Order: sequence, then structure tokens, then C-alpha cells
Amino acid sequence: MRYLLIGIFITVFFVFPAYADFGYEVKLSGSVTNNLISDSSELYDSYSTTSAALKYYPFAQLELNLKSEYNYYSNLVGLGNIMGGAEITWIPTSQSSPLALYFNAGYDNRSYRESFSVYNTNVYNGMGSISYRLARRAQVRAGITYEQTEFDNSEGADKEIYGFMFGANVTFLGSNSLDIESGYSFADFISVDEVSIMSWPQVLEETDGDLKSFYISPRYSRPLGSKLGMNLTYTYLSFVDFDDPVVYSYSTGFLSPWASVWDGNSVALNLKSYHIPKMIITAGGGYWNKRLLRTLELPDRIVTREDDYSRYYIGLSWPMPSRSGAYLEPSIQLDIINNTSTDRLYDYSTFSVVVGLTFRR
Amino acid sequence: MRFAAILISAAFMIFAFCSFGSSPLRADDGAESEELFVDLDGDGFNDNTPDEDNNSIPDSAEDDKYSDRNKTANALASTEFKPIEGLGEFDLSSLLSNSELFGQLKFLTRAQSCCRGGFEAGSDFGPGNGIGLGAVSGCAGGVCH
Repeated sequence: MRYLLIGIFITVFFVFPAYADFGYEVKLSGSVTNNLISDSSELYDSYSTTSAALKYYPFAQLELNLKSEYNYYSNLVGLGNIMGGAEITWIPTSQSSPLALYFNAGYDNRSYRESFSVYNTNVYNGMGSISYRLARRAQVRAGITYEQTEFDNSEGADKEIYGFMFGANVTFLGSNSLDIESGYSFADFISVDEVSIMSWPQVLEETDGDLKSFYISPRYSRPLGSKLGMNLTYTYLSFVDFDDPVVYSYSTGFLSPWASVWDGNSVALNLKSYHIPKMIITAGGGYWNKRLLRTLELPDRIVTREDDYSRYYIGLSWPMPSRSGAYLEPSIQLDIINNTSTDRLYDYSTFSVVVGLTFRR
Repeated sequence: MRFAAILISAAFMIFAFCSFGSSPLRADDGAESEELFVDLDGDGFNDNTPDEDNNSIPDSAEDDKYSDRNKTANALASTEFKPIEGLGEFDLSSLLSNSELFGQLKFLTRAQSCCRGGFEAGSDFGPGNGIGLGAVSGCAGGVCH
């Protein structure tokens, strides 16, 4: 797939130069956190991220995006990593049509320093979606997604995810908006046979697993005056035909390939405010009740984990567009996370501050 | 932590109760299409509200914008160029660059490019949930919490 993307890029770069225009974006950010890897070890660190993207528009319906990112950590230096990737987005429908099509495909390669090279990944993803404006205040949409994650230096954590979703958005009683989305996902992954973990001498047996998940998520949003907007989002996720597999885990922290896979409930409230002139304030809070997959911490510890996770944030950004088309945006965000888990290793709290600057043209 | 969920729900109900029927952005009160309330990105604001200076802040939320513009307009009234009339079938979009036209198409498909569930649910909570903060993201080292 990566060669297909490279081929498309080269072809388009050479075939359409006469009509093309370019854009670019640079982002810089620095952060301090008292708990980098999100567990009870509470590892303090500061890190910086530099990212750049070059966007190319051979014609109005197509965007090609070459992107890169570098992360540097002050204390946990080995976690430093560099990412390079490409993305193509095609929107073939016209602005006047009630029907809209959206296609996107991308490839990312992320490489860590030697000590964390077990996490080096190649990620391929694609998405196709369609929406239709049923009425002036009602729209329906549907889409399919695909994501493949390959770990360069470790087997057993690779996964392939297929998903489809559909949703509807309606406005009612003036300025109240209700957006409901539902979807179903399938994941191919490798699980570890539980009996083999306890065998002596230990010979781990791997089996191909098939994970299925259903979700439904209503979101209500509305303005609260002319300068404050809010949304309240509830999400219910549930594994389907779940046989509680054990999967490999390579870390106690947030780099675990399975840290983002869970079922349960979540509710989140987000606010956006324009009360400070020329600036955007965002704030929110959310609560997640998560059941995560059981993981194998070598040699034979099986971690069963259910978390109560809450997160609160507030951010301030100052968008500064210029008449020449350049755009500058400094921003700052404060984050607080509290997590209680059935496994005491994952009882933790995190406080972090991120300062960022975006420039694009 | 269940207390946090209850607190969030209670805060929402108070906001909603206080605001129903009194919003100045009610579409029914306004005139036509630009006042038609649509919120596909979920930030609570009307996506169709004009933002003439492209600073991501709707013109209606910037108190000083119209007063500044009126002062400038009065001062320059005598030298103001008149708009060209009789453009007929002229397509204004032909004056826009590919990137500007693509930006308009992307705006139309803003609800189609992401999902709220699946196996990465919640990883985009915070600044990545459509209420963005530019360079600040909910991820560290390329991995989202």
C-alpha cells in the first residue's frame, strides 16, 4: 500500500503542476507532565514536538499531504521518535450537491530510538464516507474505515481493524443539534492461549483472534448565548461475542498496543467560548468506565483491568490570520487526569501543561 | 468517579434549562439561510455563521468587529470603489485557488472524516474533538492517552 501511495504522489506531482498550488503547516509544542506513561510510577518528563506538513492541491477536489513529526523527551530520551507519512484526500462531489463523498488514505511510519524500537510501527489507514442532506436541517451519513498496524520489531501485536458507521444530524427547536452515530468494528489480532501461559516449561501458543465491537453515541450541542457553545456526548461501547482473550502487552504504560481498546460507557461535556476578544477558550470534562483486554506481562502475569478514568482540560488559543493568507496560532492547554483501576499499578493521576504554536500558509 | 459523571450531567441540565428559548442564535428568529442553524462539528455554534476574517471566531461573537468596520467605512466613504455590477453568469469560484476550493469541500464533509467509536474511542477527547487547539493535541510521543 505504501508503494501505491508513493506512486500516486509521484504521478500527480508531475502531471498536474500547471493548476497546482501548495500549502504548508508547521507546529511546535512543548509540554511538562508529572506522569508520562500513565501509571502509578508517576514518571516526570518534559517533551517537545515539531511537526511539518506540505500540502499539494493538483486540482480542487484533491489534497496530497506529506507530513513528518519529531518528538523529543528530556528524561526518557529513548522514547524520542520520528514519524513520516503521506495522506491523500479526495472529495469528488460538488458544493451544490446534497450528496457528498469523502475518501481518505494514509500511511505513517514511526521509529523510536533503539531502547524503544519494539514500538516501531507502520500504520495504513483508509476511509470512505457518504453523506446526504435530507432537508435543510437534517443530514445522514455512512462510512467504512480500515486500519492496519504493523510492528516492525515485534510479532503478536499487529492488528487489522475494519469498521463501518452511520449517523444522523438534526437541528430542532431553533438551535439545538442532535447527532447520533453508531458503528461496528472488527479487529484481527493475535491472542495468547491461556493454558500455555501456565505450562512448564513455558511454550506460549498464539491463536488468531477476532474481536468485534459495537458502539452508539448520541451528541447534543447548542449555543448558550452568542459566545458560548457546548456539547454533551454519551458513548456506549460493547464487545460482541467476547471470549475475554489474553493479548501480549509490552509495557505498563500508554505505549501498550492495547491501551486504547476497551468497552464500557463514557460521557463528556465540552465547552467553547469566545468571551476573551480574539481568543478561543475550550474546556471540558469527561468520565470513562473501561474494561480493557486482559494482557500478559511476561513471564506469566495476566493483568485484568477495569478503569474509572476522568479527564478535565482547559485551553486557550489565539488565532491570527493575515490578509496574505498566513495563519499563526499560539495556544496553551492544561490537563488533569484521574484513573482508578482494579489493578493498583494503574491507579494514577496526571497533570500536564502544553504550549503550542501553529503556523500555516 | 461516578460522582464526576453525575456532576457533568447536572451541569449540562442547568445550562440547558437556563438557555432554552432565550438563545440569540435561534434560527427561527433570523432571516434566511445564513441564520439556519447547523452544527455538524459539535462545537455548539452554528457552522454557517459568517467568519469574514477566517480567524475561526464567528463574526457574531466579535463585538468590536462591526463597530470597527463601520468607523472605517465612514472614513473611507468618499474614496470607496463601487462593486462591479452586471457580472451576469460569471462564476466567482473561478477566482479561488485549488486549496481554497478544497477547503470549502472539506468544510462540507466535516462530519464524514472521523468516528466517535470503534477501537480507538475516546482517544481524541479534549482538543482533538472538533473543538481544536492547533498545535496542542491529546497525544504524547505520537500515542494518544
